[in-house]
Amino acid sequence: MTSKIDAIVVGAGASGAVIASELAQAGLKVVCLDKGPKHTTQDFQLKQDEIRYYARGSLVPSMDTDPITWRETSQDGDGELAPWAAGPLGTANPLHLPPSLGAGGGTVHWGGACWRFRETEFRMKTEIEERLGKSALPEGHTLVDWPITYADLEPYYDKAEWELGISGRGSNVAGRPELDENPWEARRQRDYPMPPLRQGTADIEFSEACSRLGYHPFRTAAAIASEPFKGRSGCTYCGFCHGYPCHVDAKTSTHVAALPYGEASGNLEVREYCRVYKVNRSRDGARVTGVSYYDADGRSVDLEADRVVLACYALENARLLLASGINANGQVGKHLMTHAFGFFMGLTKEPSNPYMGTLVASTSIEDFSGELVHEHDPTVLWGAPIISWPGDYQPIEIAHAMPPSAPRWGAGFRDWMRDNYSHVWSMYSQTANIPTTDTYVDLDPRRKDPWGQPALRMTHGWGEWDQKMVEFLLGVKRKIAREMGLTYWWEETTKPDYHLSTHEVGTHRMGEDPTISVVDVYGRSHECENLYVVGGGQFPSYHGYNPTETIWAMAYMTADSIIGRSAPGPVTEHGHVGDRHASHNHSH
Amino acid sequence: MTVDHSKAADGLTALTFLNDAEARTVEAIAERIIPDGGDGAGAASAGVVYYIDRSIGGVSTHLQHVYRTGLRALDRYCLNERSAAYIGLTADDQDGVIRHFLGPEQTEVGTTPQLFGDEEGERDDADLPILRRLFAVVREHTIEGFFCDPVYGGNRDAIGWKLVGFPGAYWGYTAQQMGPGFDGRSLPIKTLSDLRAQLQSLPDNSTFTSNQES
Ligand SMILES: Cc1cc2nc3c(=O)[nH]c(=O)nc-3n(C[C@H](O)[C@H](O)[C@H](O)COP(=O)(O)OP(=O)(O)OC[C@H]3O[C@@H](n4cnc5c(N)ncnc54)[C@H](O)[C@@H]3O)c2cc1C
Ligand code: SF4
Repeated sequence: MTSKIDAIVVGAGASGAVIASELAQAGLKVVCLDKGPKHTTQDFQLKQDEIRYYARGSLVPSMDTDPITWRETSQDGDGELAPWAAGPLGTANPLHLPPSLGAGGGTVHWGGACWRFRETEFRMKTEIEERLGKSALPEGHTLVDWPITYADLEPYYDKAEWELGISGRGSNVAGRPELDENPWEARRQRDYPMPPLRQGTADIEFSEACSRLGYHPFRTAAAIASEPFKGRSGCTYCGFCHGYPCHVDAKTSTHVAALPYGEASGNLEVREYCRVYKVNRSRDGARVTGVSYYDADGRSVDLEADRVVLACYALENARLLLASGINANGQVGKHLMTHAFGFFMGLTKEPSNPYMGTLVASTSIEDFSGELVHEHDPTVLWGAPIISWPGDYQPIEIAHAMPPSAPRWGAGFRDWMRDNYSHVWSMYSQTANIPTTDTYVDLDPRRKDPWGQPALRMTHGWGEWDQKMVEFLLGVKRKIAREMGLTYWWEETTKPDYHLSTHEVGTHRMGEDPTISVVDVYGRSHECENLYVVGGGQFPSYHGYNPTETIWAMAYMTADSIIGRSAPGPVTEHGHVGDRHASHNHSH
Repeated sequence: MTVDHSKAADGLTALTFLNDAEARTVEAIAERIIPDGGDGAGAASAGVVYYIDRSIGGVSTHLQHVYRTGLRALDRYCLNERSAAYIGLTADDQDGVIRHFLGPEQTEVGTTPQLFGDEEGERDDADLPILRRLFAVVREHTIEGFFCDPVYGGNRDAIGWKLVGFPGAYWGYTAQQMGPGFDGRSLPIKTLSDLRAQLQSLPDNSTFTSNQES
């Protein structure tokens, strides 16, 4: 690799790997730094291991190396180490920690639920104000509309689906009127490149119950290959999916779906175990000159480049900006949003065999999404899809998710697990808190990580308005549970004790006005002209959907902007709609 | 006495951190947390204590002090309050001790189990925080050791998995196995060791990916 580097990309996760690979394929010399390892599929052949990945969280940062402190409001003192993130053994469910370690980032072990946001989500604030009145939003809220629309992102959603591999069945596909399961799907230029994943039987019961209730079930799209895709295997339904890496590369992790294409160009060097601690700036501060990182042996290394892309997740992106003093307008870290899951677990009459398949071989309904909820209850600010989570549950995970009424130890505990484990089934929804002046991240005033860097502090609570969204959707879930004939069910509270959901967003908001946002629509910093800060941190508002397909779409947009390339045009010559194979070959 | 050089123990019941007395106490606690229901499936027969011993000897060294000082405190408590060490108590009395520090088996719906010491109690009894912590840690470790892959030292003979009907480490499941009416209990249990032995002879992934029922 030559000494001149066109771009340093910090973080080889969902967004970073896509951008690094796109830039490298366009001829830029790229170095991608990640604090974790560069995984290989070989490493994961025996990944069917609940101790390693779930109980000990071997793919997620721990509170020892990457401490995060939390307080509910800014009136609550300095903050304590995030209490939900370290159980009795000092570990926690990977779903409530920052999502990542190593190439692929969160996508190495994610669920892979994929969504395009609907048109109205991009103007959530206006929709709420027009429908419910200006006073409907809570005092101190900082919600804004997106500076882009669904139409701006559509070509990039399409690109993410076809380049990276997302399976599903569209409902509003140009020229395909027969596809119409989800009446509220935004218009799409073509279908997904692969059909939906195979459902388990309990999921079919969910779908049928929803239909009987007059709802409109459709298959959840998934970043999992349902058939061989670009040299990757189709899913084998191994049942160790959510929170686990994939042993056959069916799961779309960017370490297999993006990085290899960048590396094949000869222009991308991925450096593992490099922990970036500072972004360096020119004397006048208008530009960045590169980054400083600690290598695996703890040595500090300075690296220079023409531009820097921060892609280390919404939380670490904000922490790095703050630790590097890049926050002239005071906007970095503000507007934190995250999801409450409204988990709803139940027991099916017939065995659900929850150890098979993947959670995302699932079904969803959008009948209560976004503004649609207002017709049912105008006191609920914003709705969300209800999504089945039909399995992919291992025994320790279930021992942690038992109903509050079940015995916690003793013969009763043992017997509960014996009688019920193979009947467990669940559904969830995702509602985001409305951002306010009191939901944000900053640097902890005291706590440091083992490298002497300031820890990130979260200030975040669930408002009554947030809890109302969860409660409304729990009500719908109860109806579905009854209709399905679940023999027993239990629910997560409307005010969960966690404030990390792996879906943190908003912390480096994008916008056109440089005084009230951190980056522009391409993720480019308003403060340093050759610095990009990308990922869910860009989201101006947040809704009922998993974030990553939108993070990917925006990452492609950033790459195009850096390369000076226009947005992909409508798909024409290489694949009429529904023709899967033509465009595989075309892509690389 | 001559040593028989032709036979060696398999190394599955030796200890890497706990001393013998500590191991007996831990095993006794674990057995009350997941007791044998008469079918042979309990924490002791699953070898939970060996899971715990290897965990704290290896990856969770930060918990060594919880066991070492906690178990000493437990003996002090049991001798003072019940005139015998923990392992000398009846099963009912052992449960009483656990209830005292971990809370009742079944909590009222809506109350959050208290995992670590409340401050009021701590003032009266210096040992209370470590004892509460010890029981919270042992409970967690017992669940892990009962359901872990046997390679970690617990879940011997896949006792925990057999009890709940978890087939273990599978490369994949076929359309037929995921279909209606399939009896999951008919699947042979596979450990990671079994799967590793089969890596070279696995069927093609299409066996699992394909939706054609064969
Ligand atoms: C268990 C689980 C399930 C999930 N399920 C879903 C789902 O179903 N659908 C969905 O849309 N999303 C899901 N997510 C969330 C998804 O993983 C994230 O939205 C996504 O990965 C975020 O992308 P990112 O590029 O911002 O960050 P990441 O993918 O987290 O990548 C950040 C990268 O930066 C590296 N890094 C961090 N700090 C530094 C530093 N200082 N120096 C160098 N490198 C650094 C990290 O090692 C990591 O590789 C899930 C996450 C988890 C953990
Ligand atoms: S369920 Fe499918 S995608 Fe998930 S890890 Fe297993 S094989 Fe991979």
